[in-house]
Amino acid sequence: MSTEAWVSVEAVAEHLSVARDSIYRWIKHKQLPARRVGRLWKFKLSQIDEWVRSGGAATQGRRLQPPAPGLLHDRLDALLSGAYEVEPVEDGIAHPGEHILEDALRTADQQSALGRISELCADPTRPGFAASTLRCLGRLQSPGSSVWRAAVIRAALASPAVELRDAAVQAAESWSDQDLVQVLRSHRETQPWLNRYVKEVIEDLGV
Amino acid sequence: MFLARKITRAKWLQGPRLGRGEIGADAVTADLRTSGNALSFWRCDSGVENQVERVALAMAAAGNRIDKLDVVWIAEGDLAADGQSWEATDGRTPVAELRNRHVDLQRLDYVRLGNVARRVAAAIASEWCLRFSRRRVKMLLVAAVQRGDLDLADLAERVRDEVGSAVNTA
Repeated sequence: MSTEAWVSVEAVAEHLSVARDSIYRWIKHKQLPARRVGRLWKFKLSQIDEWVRSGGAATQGRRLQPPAPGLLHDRLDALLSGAYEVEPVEDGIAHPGEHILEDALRTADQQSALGRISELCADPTRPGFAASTLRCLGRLQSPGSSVWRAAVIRAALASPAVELRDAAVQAAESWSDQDLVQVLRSHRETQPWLNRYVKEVIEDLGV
Repeated sequence: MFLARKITRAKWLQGPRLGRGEIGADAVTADLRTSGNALSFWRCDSGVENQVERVALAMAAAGNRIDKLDVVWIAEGDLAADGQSWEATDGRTPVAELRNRHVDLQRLDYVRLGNVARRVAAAIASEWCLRFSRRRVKMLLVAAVQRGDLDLADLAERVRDEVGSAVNTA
């Protein structure tokens, strides 16, 4: 017998990173699995996931309606900020930020998630936040395409904040993309110790 | 003798809205996180690279991710001159031979922690700080397994998988 709990419309909206209105619309028009209990709709997340996987919200070849951009942006930012506040990112130690980014990349509209993540990793107003995000991202197994990863690294290396440039080199080393060698080679690093690291990574990746 | 600790070097450079010589609070709160008013360090005979490698191994083997590693070291005499005390405690590392190198700085209040922060900043400025790339950290772990100093089974799962596969292909 299943013991999975029934969850609210708010929980499903958050789970899918969409607005509540989308949930009501999908119940009405796209057979989103839901059960009415009195005046409330209740859901099982396993059924929701299955519905998404089977293309439940897609119509005539259209993809699942992407999450409202503002929702994804605000939520991701808030989750990561909260995680860094509780626990700074430490070398050699897993960080909840990794799972937050992984979850974001599993959303229905990956392009939107990738776009937002690349913005966060180069946020000039919060270099510490950006560096922490890039350090967590660097621990994920090759997120996005190699072109996307190169753009993320390039943008971070252009930052005046050494912490962010350092995080970029660290991510490049971790992803081990041959394509990133050229990005690192074209970077002019002013900090001698970081320059040594850049050269070491170029050498290692070039092998 | 020296006491060594893992830091994030980039955090110790002049931060946003800070002047030259000022130590950013972000560096202190991220890299000098105390527990029970104590701070963990590893004893190191000298700042010679192979000595620092030993403490880097102790730290890397205790982690659950393989990352680059920055190790800074401070002279025990400097800490003693600040009136700082420490005591040997069992180190949390699967490298048995290195466990007895662990010490905790004791009775840290915010003034003493500030003194430690100043010593760390001065050590970095004097290049008493060594970066180990991710690849080098992995090589340290692989070599320790091959020497029999470290049992693969004692490593965290993700580290074990990566190190184990490198040991098997070596």
